[in-house]
Amino acid sequence: MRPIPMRQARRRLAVIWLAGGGVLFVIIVLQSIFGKFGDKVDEAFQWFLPAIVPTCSLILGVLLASALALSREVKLVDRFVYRLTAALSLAYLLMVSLSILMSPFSETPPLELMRQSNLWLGPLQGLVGGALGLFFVSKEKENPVDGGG
Amino acid sequence: MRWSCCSPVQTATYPRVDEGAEVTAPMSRQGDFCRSSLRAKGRCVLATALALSALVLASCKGPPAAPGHGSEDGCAACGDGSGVPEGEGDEPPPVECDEPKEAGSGEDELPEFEWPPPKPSASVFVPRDLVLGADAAPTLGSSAARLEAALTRAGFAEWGYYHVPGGFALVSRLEQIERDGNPHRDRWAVDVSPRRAFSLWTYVSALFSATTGRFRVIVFVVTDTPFRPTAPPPDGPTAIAWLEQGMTGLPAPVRGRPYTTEHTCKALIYEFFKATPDHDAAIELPSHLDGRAHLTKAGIWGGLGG
Repeated sequence: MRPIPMRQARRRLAVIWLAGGGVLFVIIVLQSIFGKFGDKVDEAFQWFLPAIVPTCSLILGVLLASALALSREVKLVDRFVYRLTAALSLAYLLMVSLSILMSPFSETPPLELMRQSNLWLGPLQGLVGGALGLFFVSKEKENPVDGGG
Repeated sequence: MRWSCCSPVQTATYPRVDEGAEVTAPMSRQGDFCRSSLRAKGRCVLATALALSALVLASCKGPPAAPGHGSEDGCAACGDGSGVPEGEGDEPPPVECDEPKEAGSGEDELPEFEWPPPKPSASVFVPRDLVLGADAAPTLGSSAARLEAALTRAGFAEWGYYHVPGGFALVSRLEQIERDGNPHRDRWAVDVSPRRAFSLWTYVSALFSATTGRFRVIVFVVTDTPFRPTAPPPDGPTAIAWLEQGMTGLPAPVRGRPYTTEHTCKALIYEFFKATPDHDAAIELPSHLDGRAHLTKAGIWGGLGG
Protein backbone atom coordinates (compact mmCIF):
# COMPACT_ATOMS: atom_id res chain seq x y z
CA MET A 1 0.00 0.00 0.00
CA ARG A 2 1.50 3.30 -1.03
CA PRO A 3 2.16 5.84 1.66
CA ILE A 4 0.31 9.10 1.62
CA PRO A 5 1.90 12.50 2.13
CA MET A 6 1.40 13.76 5.64
CA ARG A 7 0.17 17.12 4.44
CA GLN A 8 -2.57 15.49 2.35
CA ALA A 9 -3.61 13.26 5.23
CA ARG A 10 -3.82 16.22 7.57
CA ARG A 11 -5.99 18.16 5.18
CA ARG A 12 -8.41 15.32 4.69
CA LEU A 13 -8.72 14.73 8.38
CA ALA A 14 -9.21 18.45 8.92
CA VAL A 15 -12.07 18.47 6.41
CA ILE A 16 -13.72 15.54 8.20
CA TRP A 17 -13.52 17.16 11.60
CA LEU A 18 -14.25 20.76 10.72
CA ALA A 19 -17.14 19.93 8.41
CA GLY A 20 -18.68 17.36 10.71
CA GLY A 21 -18.17 19.44 13.82
CA GLY A 22 -19.41 22.56 12.09
CA VAL A 23 -22.66 20.97 10.98
CA LEU A 24 -23.33 19.65 14.47
CA PHE A 25 -22.53 23.05 15.94
CA VAL A 26 -25.08 24.71 13.67
CA ILE A 27 -27.73 22.14 14.68
CA ILE A 28 -27.10 22.76 18.37
CA VAL A 29 -27.31 26.54 17.86
CA LEU A 30 -30.61 26.23 15.98
CA GLN A 31 -32.01 23.97 18.67
CA SER A 32 -31.05 26.54 21.29
CA ILE A 33 -32.69 29.33 19.32
CA PHE A 34 -35.96 27.42 18.91
CA GLY A 35 -36.13 26.52 22.59
CA LYS A 36 -35.34 22.84 22.35
CA PHE A 37 -33.51 22.96 25.67
CA GLY A 38 -35.59 25.62 27.40
CA ASP A 39 -33.46 27.50 29.89
CA LYS A 40 -30.90 24.69 30.04
CA VAL A 41 -28.97 25.71 26.94
CA ASP A 42 -25.76 25.80 28.94
CA GLU A 43 -26.06 22.10 29.70
CA ALA A 44 -26.31 21.29 26.00
CA PHE A 45 -23.17 23.26 25.18
CA GLN A 46 -21.36 21.85 28.19
CA TRP A 47 -21.82 18.47 26.59
CA PHE A 48 -21.14 19.41 22.98
CA LEU A 49 -18.12 21.70 23.19
CA PRO A 50 -15.72 19.32 24.96
CA ALA A 51 -16.66 16.62 22.47
CA ILE A 52 -15.66 18.58 19.36
CA VAL A 53 -13.77 21.78 20.05
CA PRO A 54 -10.50 20.42 21.51
CA THR A 55 -9.84 18.19 18.51
CA CYS A 56 -10.84 20.83 15.99
CA SER A 57 -8.65 23.37 17.77
CA LEU A 58 -5.67 21.02 17.63
CA ILE A 59 -6.20 20.30 13.96
CA LEU A 60 -6.62 23.95 13.04
CA GLY A 61 -3.62 24.97 15.12
CA VAL A 62 -1.31 22.47 13.49
CA LEU A 63 -2.52 23.35 10.01
CA LEU A 64 -1.92 27.03 10.61
CA ALA A 65 1.50 26.37 12.08
CA SER A 66 2.53 24.19 9.17
CA ALA A 67 1.25 26.80 6.75
CA LEU A 68 3.75 29.27 8.14
CA ALA A 69 6.60 26.79 8.05
CA LEU A 70 6.55 25.55 4.52
CA SER A 71 9.19 22.98 3.76
CA ARG A 72 10.29 21.13 0.70
CA GLU A 73 10.59 18.02 2.81
CA VAL A 74 7.77 15.55 2.09
CA LYS A 75 6.71 13.52 5.01
CA LEU A 76 4.96 10.27 4.28
CA VAL A 77 2.60 8.23 6.39
CA ASP A 78 1.24 4.74 5.99
CA ARG A 79 -2.00 4.89 4.03
CA PHE A 80 -3.57 2.20 6.19
CA VAL A 81 -2.93 4.25 9.31
CA TYR A 82 -4.45 7.29 7.62
CA ARG A 83 -7.55 5.33 6.63
CA LEU A 84 -7.86 3.89 10.10
CA THR A 85 -7.66 7.35 11.61
CA ALA A 86 -10.21 8.69 9.17
CA ALA A 87 -12.61 5.82 9.93
CA LEU A 88 -12.27 6.36 13.65
CA SER A 89 -12.92 10.07 13.20
CA LEU A 90 -16.03 9.42 11.14
CA ALA A 91 -17.27 6.87 13.64
CA TYR A 92 -16.82 9.28 16.52
CA LEU A 93 -18.59 12.10 14.73
CA LEU A 94 -21.39 9.70 13.84
CA MET A 95 -21.82 8.76 17.50
CA VAL A 96 -21.98 12.41 18.49
CA SER A 97 -24.52 13.17 15.79
CA LEU A 98 -26.67 10.19 16.77
CA SER A 99 -27.07 11.64 20.25
CA ILE A 100 -28.49 14.77 18.64
CA LEU A 101 -30.36 13.47 15.61
CA MET A 102 -31.99 10.49 17.29
CA SER A 103 -33.48 12.44 20.22
CA PRO A 104 -36.93 12.82 18.52
CA PHE A 105 -37.25 9.04 18.50
CA SER A 106 -36.13 8.50 22.05
CA GLU A 107 -38.23 8.39 25.19
CA THR A 108 -35.23 9.77 27.04
CA PRO A 109 -35.18 13.56 27.34
CA PRO A 110 -32.59 15.19 25.04
CA LEU A 111 -30.23 16.46 27.74
CA GLU A 112 -30.42 13.17 29.59
CA LEU A 113 -29.60 11.37 26.34
CA MET A 114 -26.55 13.59 25.89
CA ARG A 115 -25.36 12.73 29.37
CA GLN A 116 -25.83 9.04 28.70
CA SER A 117 -23.86 9.27 25.46
CA ASN A 118 -20.74 10.09 27.45
CA LEU A 119 -20.61 6.41 28.31
CA TRP A 120 -19.77 5.43 24.75
CA LEU A 121 -18.19 8.63 23.50
CA GLY A 122 -15.51 8.66 26.17
CA PRO A 123 -13.72 5.46 25.13
CA LEU A 124 -14.09 6.28 21.44
CA GLN A 125 -12.68 9.73 21.98
CA GLY A 126 -9.60 8.17 23.50
CA LEU A 127 -9.00 6.00 20.45
CA VAL A 128 -9.52 8.86 18.07
CA GLY A 129 -7.25 11.13 20.04
CA GLY A 130 -4.50 8.58 20.01
CA ALA A 131 -4.75 8.10 16.27
CA LEU A 132 -4.88 11.82 15.51
CA GLY A 133 -1.81 12.37 17.59
CA LEU A 134 0.30 10.76 14.86
CA PHE A 135 -0.83 13.33 12.34
CA PHE A 136 -1.06 16.46 14.42
CA VAL A 137 1.44 16.01 17.20
CA SER A 138 4.20 13.71 16.00
CA LYS A 139 7.31 15.32 14.52
CA GLU A 140 8.64 12.14 12.92
CA LYS A 141 10.78 12.78 9.90
CA GLU A 142 10.87 10.48 6.90
CA ASN A 143 12.75 10.67 3.68
CA PRO A 144 10.83 10.51 0.42
CA VAL A 145 10.64 6.87 -0.51
CA ASP A 146 9.02 4.87 -3.24
CA GLY A 147 5.73 3.25 -2.61
CA GLY A 148 6.74 0.18 -0.62
CA GLY A 149 4.08 -2.01 1.11
CA MET B 1 -14.23 2.31 111.59
CA ARG B 2 -17.79 1.97 110.49
CA TRP B 3 -19.27 1.79 107.01
CA SER B 4 -22.45 3.65 106.24
CA CYS B 5 -24.98 1.71 104.18
CA CYS B 6 -24.90 2.67 100.52
CA SER B 7 -28.64 2.95 99.74
CA PRO B 8 -30.38 5.41 97.42
CA VAL B 9 -32.18 7.08 100.27
CA GLN B 10 -29.13 7.70 102.33
CA THR B 11 -25.99 9.55 101.60
CA ALA B 12 -22.98 7.51 102.43
CA THR B 13 -19.42 8.23 103.28
CA TYR B 14 -16.78 5.64 102.91
CA PRO B 15 -13.86 6.00 105.27
CA ARG B 16 -10.69 4.47 104.08
CA VAL B 17 -10.21 0.88 105.21
CA ASP B 18 -6.77 -0.21 106.13
CA GLU B 19 -5.79 -3.61 104.91
CA GLY B 20 -6.70 -6.28 107.34
CA ALA B 21 -8.76 -3.94 109.46
CA GLU B 22 -12.04 -5.28 110.65
CA VAL B 23 -15.00 -3.05 109.95
CA THR B 24 -18.65 -3.31 110.68
CA ALA B 25 -21.67 -1.57 109.15
CA PRO B 26 -25.07 -0.83 110.68
CA MET B 27 -28.28 -2.39 109.45
CA SER B 28 -30.07 -0.31 106.71
CA ARG B 29 -33.81 0.29 106.52
CA GLN B 30 -33.89 -1.57 103.22
CA GLY B 31 -32.51 -4.80 104.47
CA ASP B 32 -29.54 -6.37 106.01
CA PHE B 33 -27.28 -6.28 102.98
CA CYS B 34 -24.64 -3.82 104.18
CA ARG B 35 -21.51 -5.38 105.45
CA SER B 36 -18.25 -4.01 106.53
CA SER B 37 -16.18 -5.29 103.54
CA LEU B 38 -15.44 -4.45 99.91
CA ARG B 39 -17.71 -7.32 98.80
CA ALA B 40 -20.56 -5.79 100.74
CA LYS B 41 -19.88 -2.47 99.09
CA GLY B 42 -20.07 -4.11 95.66
CA ARG B 43 -23.35 -5.83 96.48
CA CYS B 44 -24.70 -2.55 97.70
CA VAL B 45 -23.79 -0.83 94.45
CA LEU B 46 -25.26 -3.68 92.41
CA ALA B 47 -28.50 -3.59 94.33
CA THR B 48 -28.78 0.13 93.81
CA ALA B 49 -28.21 -0.24 90.09
CA LEU B 50 -30.88 -2.94 89.84
CA ALA B 51 -33.35 -0.81 91.73
CA LEU B 52 -32.74 2.15 89.46
CA SER B 53 -33.12 -0.02 86.36
CA ALA B 54 -36.42 -1.39 87.60
CA LEU B 55 -37.59 2.16 88.23
CA VAL B 56 -36.64 3.22 84.68
CA LEU B 57 -38.30 0.19 83.05
CA ALA B 58 -41.48 0.70 85.02
CA SER B 59 -41.75 4.30 83.85
CA CYS B 60 -40.77 3.55 80.25
CA LYS B 61 -43.71 3.55 77.81
CA GLY B 62 -43.47 1.64 74.55
CA PRO B 63 -44.27 3.18 71.16
CA PRO B 64 -47.93 3.34 70.20
CA ALA B 65 -49.13 0.30 68.35
CA ALA B 66 -49.48 0.91 64.66
CA PRO B 67 -53.08 0.39 63.59
CA GLY B 68 -53.84 -1.88 60.72
CA HIS B 69 -55.28 0.91 58.60
CA GLY B 70 -53.99 3.05 55.80
CA SER B 71 -53.55 6.78 55.49
CA GLU B 72 -57.00 7.54 56.86
CA ASP B 73 -55.68 7.07 60.38
CA GLY B 74 -53.11 9.81 60.13
CA CYS B 75 -53.05 13.56 60.00
CA ALA B 76 -51.18 14.37 56.84
CA ALA B 77 -50.35 17.88 58.04
CA CYS B 78 -48.71 16.85 61.31
CA GLY B 79 -45.79 14.77 62.41
CA ASP B 80 -46.12 11.90 64.81
CA GLY B 81 -42.68 11.53 66.33
CA SER B 82 -42.98 7.79 66.15
CA GLY B 83 -39.57 7.61 64.62
CA VAL B 84 -40.81 5.76 61.55
CA PRO B 85 -39.50 7.56 58.48
CA GLU B 86 -42.19 8.81 56.17
CA GLY B 87 -42.59 6.95 52.97
CA GLU B 88 -41.34 3.63 54.28
CA GLY B 89 -43.68 0.69 54.27
CA ASP B 90 -47.14 0.52 52.84
CA GLU B 91 -48.94 2.44 55.58
CA PRO B 92 -48.20 5.91 56.92
CA PRO B 93 -47.41 6.04 60.64
CA PRO B 94 -50.09 7.14 63.08
CA VAL B 95 -49.86 10.78 64.08
CA GLU B 96 -51.20 13.06 66.69
CA CYS B 97 -52.93 15.92 64.90
CA ASP B 98 -52.70 19.37 66.38
CA GLU B 99 -56.38 19.77 65.56
CA PRO B 100 -58.03 16.70 67.05
CA LYS B 101 -61.01 15.51 65.09
CA GLU B 102 -64.27 14.58 66.67
CA ALA B 103 -64.02 11.06 67.97
CA GLY B 104 -66.32 8.59 66.25
CA SER B 105 -67.32 11.15 63.61
CA GLY B 106 -65.48 9.36 60.84
CA GLU B 107 -63.34 12.43 60.31
CA ASP B 108 -60.50 10.74 62.13
CA GLU B 109 -60.36 8.24 59.28
CA LEU B 110 -59.88 10.85 56.57
CA PRO B 111 -56.44 12.27 55.84
CA GLU B 112 -56.16 16.01 56.25
CA PHE B 113 -55.98 18.25 53.18
CA GLU B 114 -53.73 21.28 53.46
CA TRP B 115 -55.79 24.11 54.96
CA PRO B 116 -56.13 26.73 53.69
CA PRO B 117 -55.65 25.00 50.35
CA PRO B 118 -52.70 25.84 48.06
CA LYS B 119 -53.18 28.68 45.62
CA PRO B 120 -54.74 27.26 42.43
CA SER B 121 -54.18 28.13 38.78
CA ALA B 122 -57.91 28.72 38.42
CA SER B 123 -61.05 28.14 40.45
CA VAL B 124 -64.80 28.25 40.11
CA PHE B 125 -67.79 27.82 42.40
CA VAL B 126 -69.91 24.88 41.28
CA PRO B 127 -73.57 25.95 41.49
CA ARG B 128 -75.62 24.33 44.20
CA ASP B 129 -78.12 22.85 41.78
CA LEU B 130 -75.35 21.08 39.89
CA VAL B 131 -73.82 19.67 43.04
CA LEU B 132 -77.10 18.52 44.63
CA GLY B 133 -79.43 18.03 41.71
CA ALA B 134 -83.05 17.58 42.79
CA ASP B 135 -82.17 16.05 46.15
CA ALA B 136 -84.63 17.31 48.77
CA ALA B 137 -82.53 16.26 51.75
CA PRO B 138 -78.99 16.58 50.51
CA THR B 139 -76.09 15.20 52.47
CA LEU B 140 -72.35 15.31 52.05
CA GLY B 141 -72.59 11.77 50.77
CA SER B 142 -75.11 12.65 48.05
CA SER B 143 -73.00 15.58 46.90
CA ALA B 144 -69.94 13.34 46.83
CA ALA B 145 -71.88 10.77 44.82
CA ARG B 146 -72.86 13.36 42.19
CA LEU B 147 -69.29 14.58 41.92
CA GLU B 148 -68.06 11.00 41.55
CA ALA B 149 -70.67 10.34 38.85
CA ALA B 150 -69.58 13.45 36.97
CA LEU B 151 -65.94 12.38 37.20
CA THR B 152 -66.83 8.93 35.92
CA ARG B 153 -68.73 10.36 32.94
CA ALA B 154 -65.71 12.55 32.20
CA GLY B 155 -63.45 9.49 32.07
CA PHE B 156 -61.88 9.66 35.51
CA ALA B 157 -61.56 6.33 37.27
CA GLU B 158 -59.58 7.38 40.32
CA TRP B 159 -60.04 10.01 42.99
CA GLY B 160 -59.16 10.62 46.61
CA TYR B 161 -60.99 12.07 49.60
CA TYR B 162 -59.55 14.32 52.27
CA HIS B 163 -60.93 16.03 55.32
CA VAL B 164 -61.39 19.80 55.37
CA PRO B 165 -63.15 21.85 58.06
CA GLY B 166 -66.87 21.33 57.73
CA GLY B 167 -66.74 18.98 54.76
CA PHE B 168 -64.40 17.18 52.44
CA ALA B 169 -62.04 17.62 49.51
CA LEU B 170 -62.28 15.40 46.43
CA VAL B 171 -59.08 15.18 44.39
CA SER B 172 -59.07 13.96 40.80
CA ARG B 173 -56.26 12.13 39.09
CA LEU B 174 -53.53 14.11 37.33
CA GLU B 175 -54.30 14.30 33.62
CA GLN B 176 -52.33 15.56 30.66
CA ILE B 177 -54.09 18.24 28.61
CA GLU B 178 -53.64 20.32 25.51
CA ARG B 179 -53.17 24.06 25.63
CA ASP B 180 -56.88 24.60 24.99
CA GLY B 181 -57.76 22.48 28.03
CA ASN B 182 -58.93 19.40 26.14
CA PRO B 183 -57.54 16.09 27.31
CA HIS B 184 -54.33 14.99 25.60
CA ARG B 185 -54.31 11.77 23.61
CA ASP B 186 -52.06 10.32 26.33
CA ARG B 187 -54.36 11.70 28.98
CA TRP B 188 -53.16 9.65 31.91
CA ALA B 189 -49.43 9.70 31.17
CA VAL B 190 -47.54 11.67 33.79
CA ASP B 191 -44.57 12.20 31.47
CA VAL B 192 -44.35 14.06 28.20
CA SER B 193 -44.78 11.58 25.36
CA PRO B 194 -42.62 11.76 22.22
CA ARG B 195 -44.39 12.60 18.99
CA ARG B 196 -45.80 9.55 17.30
CA ALA B 197 -46.60 10.63 13.76
CA PHE B 198 -43.53 10.29 11.54
CA SER B 199 -42.94 12.53 8.56
CA LEU B 200 -40.04 14.68 7.49
CA TRP B 201 -41.72 17.83 8.78
CA THR B 202 -42.63 16.13 12.08
CA TYR B 203 -39.05 14.96 12.51
CA VAL B 204 -37.57 18.38 11.78
CA SER B 205 -40.09 19.97 14.11
CA ALA B 206 -39.25 17.50 16.86
CA LEU B 207 -35.52 17.95 16.26
CA PHE B 208 -35.51 21.70 16.71
CA SER B 209 -38.42 22.36 19.07
CA ALA B 210 -39.20 21.06 22.52
CA THR B 211 -42.05 18.70 23.30
CA THR B 212 -44.00 20.47 26.00
CA GLY B 213 -46.48 19.02 28.43
CA ARG B 214 -49.47 20.39 30.34
CA PHE B 215 -51.07 18.66 33.28
CA ARG B 216 -54.08 19.33 35.46
CA VAL B 217 -55.45 18.27 38.84
CA ILE B 218 -58.92 19.28 40.02
CA VAL B 219 -59.81 19.49 43.71
CA PHE B 220 -63.44 19.90 44.72
CA VAL B 221 -63.67 21.49 48.16
CA VAL B 222 -67.07 21.06 49.81
CA THR B 223 -67.21 23.02 53.05
CA ASP B 224 -69.32 25.33 55.15
CA THR B 225 -66.25 27.31 56.14
CA PRO B 226 -65.25 30.29 54.02
CA PHE B 227 -61.64 30.06 52.95
CA ARG B 228 -59.01 31.77 50.86
CA PRO B 229 -56.37 29.61 49.16
CA THR B 230 -53.15 31.17 50.31
CA ALA B 231 -50.78 28.28 50.82
CA PRO B 232 -47.82 27.99 48.42
CA PRO B 233 -48.80 26.19 45.21
CA PRO B 234 -47.81 22.55 44.94
CA ASP B 235 -45.30 20.99 42.58
CA GLY B 236 -45.93 18.08 40.24
CA PRO B 237 -44.91 15.24 42.57
CA THR B 238 -47.06 16.68 45.35
CA ALA B 239 -50.08 16.81 43.08
CA ILE B 240 -49.52 13.19 42.07
CA ALA B 241 -49.21 12.20 45.71
CA TRP B 242 -52.59 13.75 46.52
CA LEU B 243 -54.33 10.91 44.73
CA GLU B 244 -52.18 8.24 46.30
CA GLN B 245 -52.68 9.47 49.85
CA GLY B 246 -56.41 10.19 49.64
CA MET B 247 -59.13 7.87 50.79
CA THR B 248 -61.21 6.09 48.16
CA GLY B 249 -64.52 7.06 49.74
CA LEU B 250 -66.14 9.04 52.49
CA PRO B 251 -66.65 7.29 55.83
CA ALA B 252 -70.29 6.60 56.68
CA PRO B 253 -70.54 9.16 59.50
CA VAL B 254 -69.30 11.86 57.14
CA ARG B 255 -71.58 10.79 54.31
CA GLY B 256 -74.65 11.17 56.50
CA ARG B 257 -74.01 14.76 57.45
CA PRO B 258 -76.45 17.24 55.98
CA TYR B 259 -75.42 19.52 53.13
CA THR B 260 -76.59 22.76 54.67
CA THR B 261 -77.28 26.13 53.12
CA GLU B 262 -73.89 27.22 54.40
CA HIS B 263 -72.09 24.60 52.35
CA THR B 264 -70.47 25.49 49.04
CA CYS B 265 -68.52 23.52 46.46
CA LYS B 266 -65.51 25.18 44.91
CA ALA B 267 -63.35 23.56 42.25
CA LEU B 268 -59.65 24.37 42.53
CA ILE B 269 -57.73 23.68 39.32
CA TYR B 270 -53.98 23.18 39.49
CA GLU B 271 -52.33 23.37 36.07
CA PHE B 272 -48.70 22.43 35.50
CA PHE B 273 -46.49 23.16 32.51
CA LYS B 274 -43.39 21.24 31.46
CA ALA B 275 -41.25 23.30 29.09
CA THR B 276 -39.15 20.35 27.90
CA PRO B 277 -38.89 16.71 28.91
CA ASP B 278 -35.77 17.68 30.85
CA HIS B 279 -37.64 20.20 32.99
CA ASP B 280 -39.78 19.59 36.05
CA ALA B 281 -43.45 20.46 35.79
CA ALA B 282 -44.05 23.95 37.18
CA ILE B 283 -47.37 25.38 38.37
CA GLU B 284 -49.04 27.82 36.00
CA LEU B 285 -50.12 30.90 37.94
CA PRO B 286 -52.54 31.94 36.69
CA SER B 287 -53.87 29.58 34.07
CA HIS B 288 -54.79 31.03 30.67
CA LEU B 289 -58.17 29.31 31.05
CA ASP B 290 -60.71 30.07 33.74
CA GLY B 291 -62.06 27.48 36.13
CA ARG B 292 -65.30 26.86 34.29
CA ALA B 293 -63.41 26.37 31.02
CA HIS B 294 -61.25 23.75 32.68
CA LEU B 295 -64.25 21.87 34.06
CA THR B 296 -66.03 22.10 30.73
CA LYS B 297 -63.05 20.85 28.74
CA ALA B 298 -62.52 18.07 31.22
CA GLY B 299 -66.13 16.98 30.72
CA ILE B 300 -67.02 17.43 34.38
CA TRP B 301 -69.28 20.46 34.01
CA GLY B 302 -71.40 18.63 31.49
CA GLY B 303 -71.37 15.54 33.65
CA LEU B 304 -72.92 17.53 36.48
CA GLY B 305 -75.68 18.68 34.17
CA GLY B 306 -74.31 22.10 33.42
